[in-house]
Amino acid sequence: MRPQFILAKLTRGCLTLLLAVTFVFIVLRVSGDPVAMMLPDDTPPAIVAEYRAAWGLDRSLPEQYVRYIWSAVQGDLGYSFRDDRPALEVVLERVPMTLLLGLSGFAITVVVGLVTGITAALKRGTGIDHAAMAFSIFGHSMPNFFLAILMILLFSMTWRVLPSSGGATWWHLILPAVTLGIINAGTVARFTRSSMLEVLHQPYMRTARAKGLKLTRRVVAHAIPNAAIPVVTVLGLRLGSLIAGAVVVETVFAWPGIGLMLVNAVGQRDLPVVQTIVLLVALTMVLTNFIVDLTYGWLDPRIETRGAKEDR
Amino acid sequence: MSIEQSLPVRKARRLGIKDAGRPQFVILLCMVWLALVLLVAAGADHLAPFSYTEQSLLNRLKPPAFLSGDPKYLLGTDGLGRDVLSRLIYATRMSVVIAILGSMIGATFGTLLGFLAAHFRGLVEDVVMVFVDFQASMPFFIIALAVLAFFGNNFELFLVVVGLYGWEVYARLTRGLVLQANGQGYAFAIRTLGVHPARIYMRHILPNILSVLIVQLTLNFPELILIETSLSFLGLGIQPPQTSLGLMLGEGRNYLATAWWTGVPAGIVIFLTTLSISLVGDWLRDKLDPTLKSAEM
Repeated sequence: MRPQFILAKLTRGCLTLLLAVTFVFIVLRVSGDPVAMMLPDDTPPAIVAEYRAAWGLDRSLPEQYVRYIWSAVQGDLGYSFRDDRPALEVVLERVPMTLLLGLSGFAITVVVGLVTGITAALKRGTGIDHAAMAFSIFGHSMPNFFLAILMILLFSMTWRVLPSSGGATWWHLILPAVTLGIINAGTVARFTRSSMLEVLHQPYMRTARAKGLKLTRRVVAHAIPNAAIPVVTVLGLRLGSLIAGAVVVETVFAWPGIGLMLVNAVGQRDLPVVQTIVLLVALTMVLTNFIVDLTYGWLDPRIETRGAKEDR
Repeated sequence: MSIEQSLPVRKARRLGIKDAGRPQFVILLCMVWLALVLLVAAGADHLAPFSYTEQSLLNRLKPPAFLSGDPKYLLGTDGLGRDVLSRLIYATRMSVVIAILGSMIGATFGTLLGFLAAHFRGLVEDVVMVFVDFQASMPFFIIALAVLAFFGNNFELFLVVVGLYGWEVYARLTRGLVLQANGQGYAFAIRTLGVHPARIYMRHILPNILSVLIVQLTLNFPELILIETSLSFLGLGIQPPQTSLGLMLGEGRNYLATAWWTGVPAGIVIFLTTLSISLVGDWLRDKLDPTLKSAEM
């Protein structure tokens, strides 16, 4: 892998992160005086001034900006209004739960999406294919919060087999993870199918068949690696939707992760927590995009040169 | 994010759509449903049997008529004794209005930026593309949540925030298309005549690239509905006493065990509407297919 390729991707990632920090900074400054928001209305002006000095709000905007970036880099993102602990600490506590839910959902997306897509492509034009595509459209159009509610109605209220809220046991993981996974699986299935269909008609597939290779081997060794690139793209792109979905799904199922925390923090206007989560999401996105880009280069070395050209 | 738009993906996507062999009948059904939704949205005041805020505390949580409820309330009543059908009608109107106005905002803003980038090139283009990249790599939902958290919620802000969803796709598409059109004979010919650039863009180039933008609109529209309903569902969008499909479902969440009918109809309407737009959009895209190729940059 060429170093220029990696460097270009790294630069782009850092730029995105810088923009995210800038975005939060601008929004923070435009939306109002944080001191006025925190302190009661009848606070003496002397104390207000003291707070402003302590937070560096009496300095010039560019100076504030630089100081803001510097403290963000150091992980100092203010204190949660509600908890009175560092916002980063409060948020990081929730990371394992969100990771658990996110990775389980992602695993379901990958397995269900790939299996459905590949089966549909191999059984093209049959009832299985049509059912798979109907499932794909269903996943694409179904709002995640409605699916979540239907799951609760069905599995928690009617059949009473699975718990509907909280994160105490493994049983609690099933409904939110399946909801999160199914929504994205439809799109992945659709891309996998069409990507497979393109590959299945390539000359090298005919060659493989002519060589007398078995179907399983043709598919696993020849078709899937070549069909993988658009699918990896889609999987990478679904991350944003996975994060957004996690916010909704965590809220519906009262799963104690970052998403639920974000929704509560927005409701209570706990701004340090909100900005911490936004920056954390930006970091996650940048890292994932970076990994996806590296995966491309590994899957198909031709992309490196194309990508490097586009990045100028 | 150029790889996202790369040829194989789009082409594959088109293949996938065509190969599904979707019967035209389904498309027709979808169109009927969409027409119905629009009709309900337009005529909400005449169609709704009750006002959406009218409470009748004696008639709380009445089941729908088809579940042996009071025939006066076709879809039953909610926790405050409000008629679910009437609220559903008004909620549909709210969600449709936001989706339509919002689409206009995002499409106009993005297209305008795309034109600016393609016209000025250089620094302007770089700045626009940096923001496009940024937007494309951040989940819009999170940004929307953050903005609503920082600025507090009011209807106009919510409309603009939701509307901006997808602006970066319009900007990127438009920039690519305009760059391409600028190099074509007809644009060159008009420019040689000394016509003002704004006139060239609006009168000549825009009509030529419009079909691609319309296709993008059909892709964007259902997602915009989902963004609005999600935010409203979480209680961070449309605020009571106003109502939207998402908010209705969110409020119905508290009555899942006892009165599912307060929320589930709203969910069904959202699902059927986004489903219909997606299917009709696919069909439309197939119709406009040849022009799609020019969208690749």
